[in-house]
Amino acid sequence: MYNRTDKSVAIGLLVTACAVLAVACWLRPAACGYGTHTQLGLPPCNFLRLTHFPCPSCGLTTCFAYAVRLQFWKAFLANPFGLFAFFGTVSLVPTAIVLLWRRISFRRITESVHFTKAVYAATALYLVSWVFKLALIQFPGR
Amino acid sequence: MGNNTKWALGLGVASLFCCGPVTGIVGLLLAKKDMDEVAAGRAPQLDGQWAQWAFYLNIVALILFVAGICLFWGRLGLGRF
Repeated sequence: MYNRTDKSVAIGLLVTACAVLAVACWLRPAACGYGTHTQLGLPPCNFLRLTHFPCPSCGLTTCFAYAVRLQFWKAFLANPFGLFAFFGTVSLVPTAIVLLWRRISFRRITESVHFTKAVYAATALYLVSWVFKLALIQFPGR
Repeated sequence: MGNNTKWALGLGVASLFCCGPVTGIVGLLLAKKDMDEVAAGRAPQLDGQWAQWAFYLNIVALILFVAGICLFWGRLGLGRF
């Protein structure tokens, strides 16, 4: 049964996706591949500062800033998972519009068993992306 | 303990140490899913208690993330005086 909550969630998803892409357009991607988020007044990564290794999320904002400028290779190098998240964010826009237009509840997506498997796969990809970034640091230029 | 809860716990711990909202929000959704399943009686084999713990762990991680940002902004503001 489609209700006001479903409509609010769809509008929220649409607004959030558009806002994320708009902010990514506004930011200037950091040349070093991370730290772009500091332009928003956010603190630098503590994990990187303490361990001198990037955390799994390092480079995510930089990746979005490159990807929105269609520089996908630089976006991939900044954070491989970020590219996947970028396309996911872009696809959220038409998805939210369809959910609103066809009056489909978001629960039809989230309660699907495929959604849970997709979340598991995305998390695994996130970790693999982190290993890739660590390997890139250990073996640069190869 | 369901798979969703296990993943939510792992993501909550990751969110505490490094990943902030990226894993925190996903962990929150997975834990909520299991809690809803238990509440609706669709998954009596799941342990609702663990799902709740995972849910609150992710909430705490998100709160700490926001608190960290506020602390950072506070220190920046104080530094300007």
